[in-house]
Amino acid sequence: MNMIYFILIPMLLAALAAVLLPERRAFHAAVIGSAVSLGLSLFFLFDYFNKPFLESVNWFVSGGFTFSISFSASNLTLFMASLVSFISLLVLVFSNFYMKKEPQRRYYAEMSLFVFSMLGLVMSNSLLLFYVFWELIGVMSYLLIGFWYQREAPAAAGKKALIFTRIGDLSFFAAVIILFSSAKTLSITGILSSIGSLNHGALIASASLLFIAIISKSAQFPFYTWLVDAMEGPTPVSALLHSATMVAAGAYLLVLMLPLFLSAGFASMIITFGFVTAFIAALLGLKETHLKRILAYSTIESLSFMFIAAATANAGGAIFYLFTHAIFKSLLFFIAGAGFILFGSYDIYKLKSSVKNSGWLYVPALIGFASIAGLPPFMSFFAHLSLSANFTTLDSVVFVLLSFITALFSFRAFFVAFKKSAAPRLKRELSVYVPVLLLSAIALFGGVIMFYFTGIIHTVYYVDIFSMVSMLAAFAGAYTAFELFLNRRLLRQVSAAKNAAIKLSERSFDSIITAFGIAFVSFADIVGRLDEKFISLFSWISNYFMSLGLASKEIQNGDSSTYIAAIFLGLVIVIIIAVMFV
Amino acid sequence: MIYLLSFLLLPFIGIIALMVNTFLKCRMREEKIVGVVIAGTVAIFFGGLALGFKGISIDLVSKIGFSFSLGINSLSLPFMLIAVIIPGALLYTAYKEIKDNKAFFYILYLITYASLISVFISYNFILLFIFWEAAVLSLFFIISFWGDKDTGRASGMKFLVFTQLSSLALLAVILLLFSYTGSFSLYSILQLASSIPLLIQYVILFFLLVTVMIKMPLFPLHAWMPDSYLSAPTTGTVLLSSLLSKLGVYAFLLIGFEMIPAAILHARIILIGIGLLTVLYIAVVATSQRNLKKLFSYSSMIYMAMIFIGISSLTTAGADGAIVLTVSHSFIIAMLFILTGTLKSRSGSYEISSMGGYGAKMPALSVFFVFAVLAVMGVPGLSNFVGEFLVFFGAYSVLPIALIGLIGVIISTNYYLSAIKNVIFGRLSRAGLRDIGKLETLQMLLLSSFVVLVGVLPNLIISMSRGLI
Amino acid sequence: MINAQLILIVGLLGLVLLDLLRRYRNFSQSVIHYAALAVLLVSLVSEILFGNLNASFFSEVQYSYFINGFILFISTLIYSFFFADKKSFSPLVDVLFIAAVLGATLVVLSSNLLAVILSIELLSLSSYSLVYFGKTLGTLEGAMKYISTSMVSFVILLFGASLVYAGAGTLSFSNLSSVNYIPFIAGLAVIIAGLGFKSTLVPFHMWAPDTYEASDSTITAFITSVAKAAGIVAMIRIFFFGFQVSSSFVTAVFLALALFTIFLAGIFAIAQDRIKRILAFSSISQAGFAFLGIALLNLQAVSSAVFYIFSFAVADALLFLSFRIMEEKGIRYKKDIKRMFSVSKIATIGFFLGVLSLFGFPPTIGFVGKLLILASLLSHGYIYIVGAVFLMLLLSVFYYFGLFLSLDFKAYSQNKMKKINSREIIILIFCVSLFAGIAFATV
Repeated sequence: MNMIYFILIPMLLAALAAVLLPERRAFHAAVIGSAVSLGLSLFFLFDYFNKPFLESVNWFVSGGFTFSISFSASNLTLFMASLVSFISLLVLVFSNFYMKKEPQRRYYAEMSLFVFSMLGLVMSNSLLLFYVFWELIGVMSYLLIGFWYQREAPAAAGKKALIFTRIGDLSFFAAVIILFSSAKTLSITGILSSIGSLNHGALIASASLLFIAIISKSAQFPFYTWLVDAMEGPTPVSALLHSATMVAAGAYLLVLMLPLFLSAGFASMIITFGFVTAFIAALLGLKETHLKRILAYSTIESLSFMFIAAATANAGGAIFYLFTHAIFKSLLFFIAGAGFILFGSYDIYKLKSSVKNSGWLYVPALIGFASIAGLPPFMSFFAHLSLSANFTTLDSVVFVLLSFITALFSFRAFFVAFKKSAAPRLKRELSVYVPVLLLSAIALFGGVIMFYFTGIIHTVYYVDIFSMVSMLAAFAGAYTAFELFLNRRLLRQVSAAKNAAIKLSERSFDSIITAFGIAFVSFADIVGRLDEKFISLFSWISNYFMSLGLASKEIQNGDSSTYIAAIFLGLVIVIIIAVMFV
Repeated sequence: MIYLLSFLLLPFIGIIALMVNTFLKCRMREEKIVGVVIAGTVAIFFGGLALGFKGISIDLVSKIGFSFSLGINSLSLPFMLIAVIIPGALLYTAYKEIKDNKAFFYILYLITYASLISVFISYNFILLFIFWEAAVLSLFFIISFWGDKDTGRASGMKFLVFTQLSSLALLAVILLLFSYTGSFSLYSILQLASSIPLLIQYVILFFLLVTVMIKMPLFPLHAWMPDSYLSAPTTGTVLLSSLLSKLGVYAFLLIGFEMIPAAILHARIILIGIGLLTVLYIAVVATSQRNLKKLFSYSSMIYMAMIFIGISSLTTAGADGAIVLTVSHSFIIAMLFILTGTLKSRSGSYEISSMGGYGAKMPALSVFFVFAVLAVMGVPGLSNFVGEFLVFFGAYSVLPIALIGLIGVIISTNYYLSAIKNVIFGRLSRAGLRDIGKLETLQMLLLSSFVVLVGVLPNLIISMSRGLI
Repeated sequence: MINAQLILIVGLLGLVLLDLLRRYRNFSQSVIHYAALAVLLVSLVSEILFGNLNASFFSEVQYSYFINGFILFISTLIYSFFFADKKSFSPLVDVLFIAAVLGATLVVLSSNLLAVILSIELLSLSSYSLVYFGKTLGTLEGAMKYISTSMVSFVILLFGASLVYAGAGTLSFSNLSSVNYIPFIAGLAVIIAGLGFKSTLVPFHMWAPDTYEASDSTITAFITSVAKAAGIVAMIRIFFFGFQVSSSFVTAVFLALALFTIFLAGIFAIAQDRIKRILAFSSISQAGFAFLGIALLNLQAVSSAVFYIFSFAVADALLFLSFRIMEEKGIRYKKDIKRMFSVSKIATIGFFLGVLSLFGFPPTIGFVGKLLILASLLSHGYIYIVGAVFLMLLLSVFYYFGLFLSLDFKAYSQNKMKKINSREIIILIFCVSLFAGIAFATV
């Protein structure tokens, strides 16, 4: 047949190659693999544009049902595959620069396996297969976050990430079972078409479980803390997994299963959770000083935008924003990473004091941070337009506020960390220069794609008074940041807001979770001791018998008269029993 | 056509060879003899898979219906797979671990090997019981004499007492079946069992549950397990967890699923409930464990509980899942315990607090350790996943609330990842660590390849057990 | 007309005459011993070949052929062991021994209460003296306890028999005329007490541990296998083939006594430190198990009980004979088990095989015996009893396998192969029969 799974195979082979080949070749294997995947995805995209088809292979048979590995090639899936392989290719190229001194084989093998899983995920047609890849990307994320496992922080961060996402994974698992039992099919299209026949309990249960899955994977409230800690991993990992692809999987699932959520009536809940998350993220980002963590908070916020867009029945807006976000977020991570290698720190205040000239990084940084804020004429402005297309008035008002705060914290980072001056120019290394430049270009000029995006997934955009107001709010935020952080005026007025942000982060959600964790472990200790007591109960029983035996030794005392007495005793007993039963 | 009798003949020849070797002081390495026997058996097994097996049936004492019959039933093959291969991989661990009285140990090893395989191919219940008891007794000796110096004998006794209760209960089951069908032969009982009155089926189920809940083990009859697993030598623990517990699974499938499903049908909600209780309770208990071997012992119970749930649901999916999970769990837990044994020999104890940061100095071991833990957590692509999926799917179709068992899986994620973090990650806590050697790497590779194989192609195992209702 | 009992009687008298002759002609004692052995062998053979006795007080029943067969088999082997062990002893012992065997076989054939009583007495009188063999203070004590308690039980037995006579009007098993119920039932109850002594039911067993321990292990082997078997068979004769009484009271009594026996003997055994006492208590416990089968009073159950008696008789004989070999090297306590292997490999193997068989480990006859008894219990619906029995059997795990745990294998590899002596050959024969005996099992 058409064999679209060929898109996946190169990355699997690359992973194997990375393990088996000598150290220096691992990089080449990975890059070649992702280039091939990209080529194939683009090929399929253009060749099969508007000609969707399915592809499946039997996996196992049980209980009268055949479980198969099935992929679907539609405009959306092929586009996503292309996007994933494109970003992966850039990230892998960047890794050559960033990870030069690190163990190569393990890194590239794990990255390749990740890309393999992510490609599989976006092209899956079977919900079970989707789950398989969903969990695999989680495991790869665990391994990659904890890449520098010798240090406590990454090890802990990886463990936390996997535990949090696993809660979602297992909810997903349960949802798959529920949906499969009701719909008798695993194909996503099949399940969606049978939503009407689901009984109410199953509908609500599966929707809730899927909701937990997506908010854990996409780091929404209340599961967001893992993503911030995940920044302990290498920066390319953050660029690929934790901005462009893995966390977006949650949004992708939301988009795919949107009819399910809507018919369960979850739309308003998703929107509420989304806005709450966005506010928390924005406020926390305002207080943060570590550049990557600021970016993490902005990712959380962007994901919530995707969620909100989808929940307002605007799948196109969500996907287009996903695309845009992938571009500018990875751009920003590249910049941050380059800054770390070149300048030695991620702390924005340290960067402020030690860096004289950000060099050629300055303009791309500006593009990136402006994209977070959604300023025109960058691509993300158009994305904002698209995603707010179906907003109600209330939504739009909230969104305006958000735009302000978003611009505020993103430009704070920019103005503090980056500066342009006449000091000596920065070295341009190709593996970093090319990806950054490429992404900046797309982020700058890509807005026009929005008008053509409907081909991939139905996209609308709506320019109204609220979009204008939010654009102004964004500019206002940028200006405020400029004043505050560059010109250092208006400090007193803002310190109140700043204190609020600090208080929020102190009573941080993270500590609640830690407390819960500790409580659980103590509970477990109690139960563990209970079990030990229970087990020793049996030893107690056998000791009891042993002591019974020792005590009874006295009966057999060697005295004949006792024995004879016993005989008579027995005689009496026998007679009694006889009389009782006759 | 491969004769099933050869599964018994080869180990027997091995035992004779070992005895000759000792008495005549031939100075041949005992492990080599055992290795040859096992290799031969593996070859026979795969040959049989390809060419087909031929049974045998000789009447020994026809008056009581005791006949020496061997045959393959629909359940045999997956169980035989693990019984044939795992002791082979385990041999290297035994070689490193067992230093005194080797001849006697390896004789016991071969007896266990032959008995385990033969249980799965016995077509007469008395014969089955003979092999069952032989395996149990051999393990009693292994735990008592080669186990921990201080606690080995007491744990061995505890093991024996509990396991004897389960064997006696099995005997009661066999006798009840005999009383109502007039035969000990599996052929006849499989056909006639459905005509046993329901009340008697309940009684049989009761005794069967005693057997199974002790053997696998399940809460609340698991009291023997922590000490026995802990005190036994690594070889013994692997035999216990990978193979002996599966005897219980086999009995439950063979007798419960195939012979008295009517009784299980009425009781399945309760049975699934018992399984779920075990999963949740043990997940919490395991979280409190600071001893790595005990941690894995308790966590092993969770999978046995899942297998139990799968079979109790009386659905094809559940039973298939149980069988896949059985095979998968055997390989994975063997890996985990073998690695734990290696860790003990490096750090001197099983306490997690004495380990740490081993990833830096022992890369090969760490890779396998992380692999095995991920596998046991149910990562897709590795063997536990498909089994868990089918089990929960089967259970859900009978009792939707069964999905709360997944909470146990979530809880288990925590202690597994903590185990990895505290053992492999972090700063190196001691010096002078050697990584695992070539042979041990080979051993781990062998086991891992099965884990991956079953994970990617679970149909191999499922198709082995076709013929289930 | 040739049957085993006749041969035994003739042989008995012949031996006495031969002994008289010896004093005049002066040949060695061994001739007499060989003659005694010959007598036993011939009677064994004739039992196998002909085995038939029908006289007024004695009659054949289907299983008596089997029981007599194994009694003679075991006795022959024990006697040969005794001979190989002691080399020279008074010919009186031969006479006593053969008399005891005669008594045992007669019990099996009895069809009249009087016959039972007489046969039991023949057996007992002979065994009192056999216990005293060795003439030490220890054996004297054992013999005295045996005699004194045995007398009491004999008196009780007689009393019971007379009550039965008062109630039923006859002592014969075959015809039951008008039954005056109460004395009859009372009499039967008393008979249980009387015969329970010989079969070591609790609480009539009290003599057994001391006597078993005091006497020479070979004699103990005899008492615990043949004499006990006779006692139990006497019960079977009376209650199953003899008087067909309302079964509920017999069943209740037997079940209760059996359960007491198994349980209490188990408890007593656990705390023991001397091996011989452990073996004694385990033997008592085995008898209790046999009674579980008898309690059901139907053919299937009683046949399984008979087979069970065979199995434990063989195993007990094997155990005590093996222990004899150990005993003379001073192995008395559990901790001495370490040395067992260096004393005699074959005896150690025999010892532990015997333990496994008593425990009921497949594929020994002990296992088959337990199988049959449990089968009959279950098929008649006594499920709770089976459950209780299981729990009691768990006790036996402790004292049986506690013996194993004391083993030590360091001595294993250092031993050279010693020549096998004739005692060990006998033990080997027992071991073989431990497995081969399964052929005799019937359902």
